[in-house]
Amino acid sequence: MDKLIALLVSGAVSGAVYSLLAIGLVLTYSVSRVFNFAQGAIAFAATLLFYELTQGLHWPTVPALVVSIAVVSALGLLVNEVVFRRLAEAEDATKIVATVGLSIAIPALALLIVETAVDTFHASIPRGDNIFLPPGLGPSPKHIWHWGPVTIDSNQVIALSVAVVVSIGLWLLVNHTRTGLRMRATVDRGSLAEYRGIDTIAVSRLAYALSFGIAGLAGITGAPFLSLTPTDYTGILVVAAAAAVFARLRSLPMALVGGLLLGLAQSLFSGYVHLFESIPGLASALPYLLLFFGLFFLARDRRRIAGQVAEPVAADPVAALVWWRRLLPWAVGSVGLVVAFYVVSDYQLSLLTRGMALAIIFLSFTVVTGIGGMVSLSQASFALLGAMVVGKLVAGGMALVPATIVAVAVTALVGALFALPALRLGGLSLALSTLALALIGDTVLFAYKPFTNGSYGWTVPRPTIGPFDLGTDRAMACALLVVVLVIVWIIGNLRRSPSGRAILAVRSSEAAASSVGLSTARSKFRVFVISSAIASLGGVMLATVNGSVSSASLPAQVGLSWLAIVVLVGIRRPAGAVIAALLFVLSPEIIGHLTSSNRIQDILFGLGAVQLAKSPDGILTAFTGARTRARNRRAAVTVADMPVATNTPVASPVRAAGLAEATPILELEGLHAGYGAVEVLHGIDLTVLAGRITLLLGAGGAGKSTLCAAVGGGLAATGGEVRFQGEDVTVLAAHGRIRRGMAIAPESRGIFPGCTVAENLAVVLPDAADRELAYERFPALASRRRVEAGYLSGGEQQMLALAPLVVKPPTLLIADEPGLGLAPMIVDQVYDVLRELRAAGTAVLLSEEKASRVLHLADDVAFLTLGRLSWAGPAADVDVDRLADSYLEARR
Amino acid sequence: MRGAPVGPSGSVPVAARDTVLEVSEVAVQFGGVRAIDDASLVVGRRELVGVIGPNGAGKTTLFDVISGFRRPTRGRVELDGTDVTGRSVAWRARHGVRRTFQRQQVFGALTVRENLLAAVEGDRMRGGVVVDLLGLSSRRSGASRQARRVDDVLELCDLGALRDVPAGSLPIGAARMLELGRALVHEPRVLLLDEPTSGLGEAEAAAMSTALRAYLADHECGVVLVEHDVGFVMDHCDRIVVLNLGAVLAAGPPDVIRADPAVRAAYLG
Repeated sequence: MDKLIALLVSGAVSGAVYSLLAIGLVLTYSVSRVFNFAQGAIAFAATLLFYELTQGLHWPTVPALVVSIAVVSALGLLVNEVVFRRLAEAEDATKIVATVGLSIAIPALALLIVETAVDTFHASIPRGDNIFLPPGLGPSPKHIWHWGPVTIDSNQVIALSVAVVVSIGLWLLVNHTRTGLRMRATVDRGSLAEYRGIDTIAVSRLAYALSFGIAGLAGITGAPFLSLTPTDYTGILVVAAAAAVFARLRSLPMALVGGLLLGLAQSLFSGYVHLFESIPGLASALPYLLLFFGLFFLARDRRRIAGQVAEPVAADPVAALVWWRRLLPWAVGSVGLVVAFYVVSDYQLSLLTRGMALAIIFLSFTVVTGIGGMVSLSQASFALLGAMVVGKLVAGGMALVPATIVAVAVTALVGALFALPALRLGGLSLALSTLALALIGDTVLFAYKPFTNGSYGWTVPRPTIGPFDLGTDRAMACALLVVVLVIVWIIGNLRRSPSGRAILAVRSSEAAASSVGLSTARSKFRVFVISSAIASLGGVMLATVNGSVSSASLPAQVGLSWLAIVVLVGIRRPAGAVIAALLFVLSPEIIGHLTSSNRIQDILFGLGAVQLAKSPDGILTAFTGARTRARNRRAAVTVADMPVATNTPVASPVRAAGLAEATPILELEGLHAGYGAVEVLHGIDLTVLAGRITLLLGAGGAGKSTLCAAVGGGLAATGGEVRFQGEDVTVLAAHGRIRRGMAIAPESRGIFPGCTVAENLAVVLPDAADRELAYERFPALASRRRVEAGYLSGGEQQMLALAPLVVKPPTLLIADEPGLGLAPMIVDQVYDVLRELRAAGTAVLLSEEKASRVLHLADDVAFLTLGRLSWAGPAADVDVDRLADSYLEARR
Repeated sequence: MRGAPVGPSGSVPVAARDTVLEVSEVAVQFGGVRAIDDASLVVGRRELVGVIGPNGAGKTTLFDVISGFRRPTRGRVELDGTDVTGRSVAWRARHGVRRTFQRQQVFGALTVRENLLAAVEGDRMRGGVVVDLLGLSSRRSGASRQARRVDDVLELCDLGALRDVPAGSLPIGAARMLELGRALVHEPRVLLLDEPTSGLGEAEAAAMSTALRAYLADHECGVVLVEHDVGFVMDHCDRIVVLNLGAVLAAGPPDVIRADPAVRAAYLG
């Protein structure tokens, strides 16, 4: 009983820390779609700052806490500006690597600052690295209370109460303040939030400041149970990630519960489950197992199944070069390296030799991420697995070469297993699941003594192949260079082969790939098998260079920094991997000449993250890109020579005679807009007058929704001008236009489905009295004010979207097919609202596909045909029969 | 206009039409909503059938059922008399059902020529991936025949000048043309075109039309065309099927459809 209670208490305490980190992860992910791997690093930085302030400068606890949290919150704002905001549309690998870069750089920067203060400015503060169980917020030494069977100490009480207070505070903020409502609306439907006047960029800033602050709190309160090292803090982040996945990266309460349950489960599991005692790591692998299965069952990527999302992938510019232009850099580079092998010092030679082995491992990233487009965080485990199998076999008497062949084959099989989640998951979920598998490998397989020979590991000898004795570094380096070149050649072959084309096709669009008969499963298996085989070969080579392998030599986390540096240099091309490997081994040596600190390399990762947010294709592409860009420009010219649509304006602005007194509210002049390369609107001139309903007609695909979005600010115009009440608003964000008096009823129902009826109204009507007016006008809503809007019928949803407009008539209403999918009776109610608004002086732009039902409602009519106004005039002049013709003969 | 084995009236009996694709009484349900309700469609071996209808009529859903992206809740899809309702997208593609997409989906990471190669060579060649890794794929039997097919289609679609341009950087007109080429390069038995001219200017649509007609002039292929641009459909199709609210509202040759009061009413609401 006592044991159970003790386990429950300690489980709840670690659970509280996980919960806080998980809440932060969910908060930032839901507003920015970036999973912040740096959350643990932030917690570390805050804790270090707090430690130095209290232990070094002897500040009292409270000001130290306030300053520490304020500093990391400010850091959140800064990082949001320079990194995260630019990443929203980036590829998954880029997002992951940018935050991984930060997770390496931030602790290093914090420690560097402390060390500089100590070494250069002789501050009398502790150096701050590797502090075991630092004091937290509570008194030191800690108080211990005994309550019957319960024993609890002051640090535990504080950790639990902080978690409770933060949760309640956050709950109050999110559910009972206007700011919180704005946040929830943004998370619920970001595009609509802008249409409801919410500045979503400000919301994202707040989320980052909050999330980083909470991470800091988690770190400081958790400090007494951890050692103050970046590794420990990154470790708990993975557990928090599992909790965040259980919350589907969406629900804050679920993240809280998930974190607590994980803490409890971990504690009880380690205390009670003796079933697998022969497998010592299983208890610590529990959160990773839960992370993996959580992802596998909860994070299925439905977009991929539906197959309607194509990832825009830029092509590799080098692939198109003639063969000798491709080969020349490799020839020059190889000769340079061989010369280097003969002229550099023994120490530098040993680094280069290691670099060559690492280059092989790094090339496996080129296959899985660069070509396959999948982010694998398990490459270090593949390398370690290969090396371990070889070590074990060689110790059993097998020769190195056959042992290597066996090891590569075994790892390739394991790689095929790793491809299984890739069939269901994509992007971030896949990356996290490979990380979970790698960590399971670390804690279970690589902790299994008979396989790894304990902490000693295995000796791996240098081979003698035929007449070549690879005992010296020089001979080994030359041999490895040959291996590197062979693998580069193989990757090149793959890239230019049917298999490679199939892999790139699947990566570009799974739907299109299967529609030409390519199997997505087959491609993904091939990618994982080839890449794990290469990684394991590299692992074996690395062990050979080092002379031994042990499980501590290649922890799974190392795979994160490897991926980071490869992506920074260039993931798309084999050259990027080789250069990254050389940089990785040589940079400490190069930096060593400039400064004595060993932190600079880590900090460069952070700068790399900033750089990556600017040029997502890596330094190599940014470097050699100029020539390619010039070539692409020439290609673009050829492309531009192809015939494109010509602008043939047909319509004159709607300006009925005798209406000179009506004020123009909205004026469009030569408006062009579209999506990416597709221009939908080819120059629209249109005027919408106050107190009149202008009906925008057109067949599906004519551009009605695009026009509505371009007027509302949901879509940027690519040309022309949008004037609202005489003011040019063409470049104004949607929320700015709303605040000036526009209102938008977008095509799908304009509601936040996850917010209640009352909250939906409150977003637009902050004043409770106004909301009561809305309920009076729509009694159906009044009876359902506590119901989530997603549960309302379609008609009720549309009423909910329109209700605020009746209370506070806007200057201009843009209604995009407000009757779509609604019963005729409801549609009539919608039109009643529009009439009511017209009477109140609102200018209404009403878009509809079907004319007959709305024609009687309209004052003016504009007919849109394939992105152009083909007819415009007063509604009375519309000839219904001609209208039918224009639907059925859209082009000719 | 291609009249060939199909009469201009479109009312030719099914048997005489020599059917390549038959969709019978297909229904698709999303949650509680019927997207398609008992829709049937028959396409002859050399026939061009247009499918039109207002927004939400179920045109794209019907395409997804034919190409295999969506399992119907009820009904059958038959290809040359074989029931393929349970077959995967890739299987159908390998057996001659090829399509284009409403939102264009070229393989952005491949060049124009590679897009076509990937579509014609598939991923299950003799010798498998090892042959590819050793750089011997070009020596496979059939490789040069495939390369010739690709060159033919590049010429047909007027993409020769862009052959080595990354497809991801193509403007919409060329990308749509490439998607057409990618569907044609395998010489499909059934070709599904999902709004091929959406977002195109008149000249581009005309070029697309020229390429399509040139291909169909000397290939046997049943075509189903979904298009918002009704004029394009009227110009090209032997027969038009009008969908409304998931069901077939009318079917017949263009002139009949144009004059059909039910069709006019469906468009006007």
